[in-house]
Amino acid sequence: MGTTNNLSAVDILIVEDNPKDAELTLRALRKNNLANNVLIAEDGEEALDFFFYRNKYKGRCPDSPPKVVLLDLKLPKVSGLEVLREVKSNSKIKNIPVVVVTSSREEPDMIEAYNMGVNSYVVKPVDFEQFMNAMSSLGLYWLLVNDTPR
Amino acid sequence: MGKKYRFKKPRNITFISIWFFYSLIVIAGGIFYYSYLQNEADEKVNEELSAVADLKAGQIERWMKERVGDGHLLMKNKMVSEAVDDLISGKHSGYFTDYLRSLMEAYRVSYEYRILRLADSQIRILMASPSGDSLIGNPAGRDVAKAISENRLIISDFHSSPVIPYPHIDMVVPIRRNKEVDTSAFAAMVFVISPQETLYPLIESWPTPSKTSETLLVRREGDSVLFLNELRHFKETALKLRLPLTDKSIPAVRAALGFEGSFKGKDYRGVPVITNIRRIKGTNWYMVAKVDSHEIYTPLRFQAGAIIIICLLLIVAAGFATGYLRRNLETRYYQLQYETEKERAAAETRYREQYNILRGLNESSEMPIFSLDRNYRYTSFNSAHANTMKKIYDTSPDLGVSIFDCMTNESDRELAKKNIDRALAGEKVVEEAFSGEQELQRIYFEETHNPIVNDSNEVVGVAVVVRDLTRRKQMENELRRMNDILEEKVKERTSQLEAANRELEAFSYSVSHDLRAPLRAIHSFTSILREDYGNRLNEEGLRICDIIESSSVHLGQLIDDLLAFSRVGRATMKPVRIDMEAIAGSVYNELLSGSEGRDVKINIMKLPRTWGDATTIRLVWTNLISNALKYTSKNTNTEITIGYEQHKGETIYYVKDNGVGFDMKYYHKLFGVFQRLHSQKEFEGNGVGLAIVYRIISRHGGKVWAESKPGEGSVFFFSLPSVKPNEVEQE
Repeated sequence: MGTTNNLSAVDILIVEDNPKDAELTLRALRKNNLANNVLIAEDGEEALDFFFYRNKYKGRCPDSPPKVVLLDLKLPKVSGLEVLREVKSNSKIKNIPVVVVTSSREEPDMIEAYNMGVNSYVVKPVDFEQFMNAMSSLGLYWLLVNDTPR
Repeated sequence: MGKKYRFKKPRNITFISIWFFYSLIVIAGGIFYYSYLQNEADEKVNEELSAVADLKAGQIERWMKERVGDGHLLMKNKMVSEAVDDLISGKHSGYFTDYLRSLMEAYRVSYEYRILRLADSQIRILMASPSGDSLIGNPAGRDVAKAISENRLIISDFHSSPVIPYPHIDMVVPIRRNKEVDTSAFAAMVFVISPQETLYPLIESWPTPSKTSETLLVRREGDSVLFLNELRHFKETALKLRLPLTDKSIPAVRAALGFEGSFKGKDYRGVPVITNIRRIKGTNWYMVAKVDSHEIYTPLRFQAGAIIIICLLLIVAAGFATGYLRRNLETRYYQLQYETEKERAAAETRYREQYNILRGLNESSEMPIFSLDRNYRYTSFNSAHANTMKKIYDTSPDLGVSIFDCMTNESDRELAKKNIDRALAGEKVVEEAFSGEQELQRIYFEETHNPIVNDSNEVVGVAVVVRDLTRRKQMENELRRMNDILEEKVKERTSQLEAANRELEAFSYSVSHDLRAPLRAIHSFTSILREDYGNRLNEEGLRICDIIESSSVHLGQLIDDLLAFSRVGRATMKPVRIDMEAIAGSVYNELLSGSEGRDVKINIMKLPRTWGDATTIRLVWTNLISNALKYTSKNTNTEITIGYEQHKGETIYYVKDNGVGFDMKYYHKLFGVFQRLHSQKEFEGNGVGLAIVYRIISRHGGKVWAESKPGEGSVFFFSLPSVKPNEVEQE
């Protein structure tokens, strides 16, 4: 798997508890050669550990924040919306682009996410081809097209 | 009863006075007419008297002049002078004596002198006619002397003397000397003029036939009037009858006092007379021409009688007329009185009836009813009120008694007075009150104070109706308690429902999320299998991969639709005014872009606005129009109508197509979830669209239905309530 170790710079943080979805996402990114610095957090707590240098991410390189975070909403321990709130309410990291990538198209979730300052909201298609296209587009856009303040 | 002209009973005194005054007027008229006639007669007699008096006065004057003329003729007769001179000188020539004698004879006979006497200055009679008379008495003797000495003719007044004892006038004519130097008188001729012969007949004569008319000749003598001639009614009056000047009603007295003209008075007999008085020129005589009033007025008496009869007739007629009038008026009065009495009796009966009805009505009420006048005194009350007063205050109300005397509680009195005073000021007062301390034993009542007004709209009293609200209050309290319990239960149920709803939401969320993830894995990894290991699969293996892929996509669609359906049930709805035409139009345009290349004839009518939740109503239009497009997709020409119709105040919207339609025998399945009337092969779909439509319209409180025939198209109708719902019902 082309994921980076815990302490090197991370371009894409994928917060996803479902390993099959994670694999499919990675496959899409890899096809576009975007999977070099990808980190997968398996639940919300791990994601927060990453953002706030806790536990196994204590010694993480502080200088390069991820270029995009792909955040699932339905997560064990700490939910995706909870993670989003923590990130967007912290002035140091609130500029990190966060894209919600979720299976359900639930209006309340979407409204809440946007209210908290999510940068994009994507519903994962069931169809494989559509799923691959969506993930490729996401990776290409946020890594190559988009720019963020340093 | 309206106001009526008050007809007073006619009073007898009124009629008697009317009749009396009328009679007075008639009598006055009669008197006036009679006095008019009398005046006429007076004037006529006055004229006559005046004419007679003029005539007689003229005659008397003429007679006197004739006498004086005789005297003067004698004075100028020189023959007489010579003859007398001859006689006195004693010559007694026969010629002169004869001449004198015959002359004197001639005077006496032809001029109607009674006696002629010739006297000398010694008053000796020289000659007399008739002869034999030898003495001249006084006053004739004095007149002779005076006539001779003054040499002028002297006429005495009426008088009588011892020598000539009847009334007569002496005219003494001096005989003058017939010498040029001496014309002094030396003798005198005394003419004794007796009025009996000429003057009295003259005076007594009357030119018209009359029984009472006469002429008097009078003169004043000292303080009395002396009648000179014989009277018609008294004999032997000449120079004998004297009347004192004091009684001025006697015309002769008036005449003696110098009055001339017409005069009404009483004559010497005391009989009323009408007179005309004249002074005879050249004398101190007054002539009174008179006639008895009685004679003049006798003819008037008949007329007076006629007048009196006419007057009496008029008075009697007037009496009858007033009597008739009085009877008429009295009849009318009694008739009117009778009618008034009848009306009054009818009114009384009506009043009694009304009173009984009112009392019956009052008594029929279980509610206490009573009325008061402006002084708070009872004018009516029913037994319910009497019972209440007995129960509360142990007093018995009575008509005319003040209600406050029947209340033993000061605060009750104050409250009652306040309400009654407001009603007396013209206000309708409805007040609720209660008595009793314990909630369970409390008596509630409602008092309605209504002002009683008379015809002039003045408040004359107040009517009070008391309603016992205790039962109602108890029921209200009971109801409130039940409501509270119900509310509690509703709250409980609501929280249960809310919990169930939350569960459902969590369920659908997990369905959405949890089912889609493995589905995606199935689809994706089948695709990866084909992508990475496709060269190792035979044709059948690849076909199976296709089936797995398409089935998982279908299952995903089913899950999406199911979620959409459940979302419709849960979504909150905000009713707003929505422009149906705009929504339908925009939905149609949106859907049409997905079916390019088709020949669709669309007709969207001007749809009226309605109340509803914009988002879900849009979903209704989307489903109905997309169905119409879907089921006409095999047509060569498509006609879709989006319209409405008004039915019994309701607006019914519809979407009509000319598509394949459906068999009405399956209509009961039409709006069910996952129910389809066409195969997947014919028309794709999951049978959720119409279920969603049904659910949305139901939640709006509206209705949805459809009509169709296979092959002839179908119409889908829905109606929404025309008023704004307070809140759309939550399912």
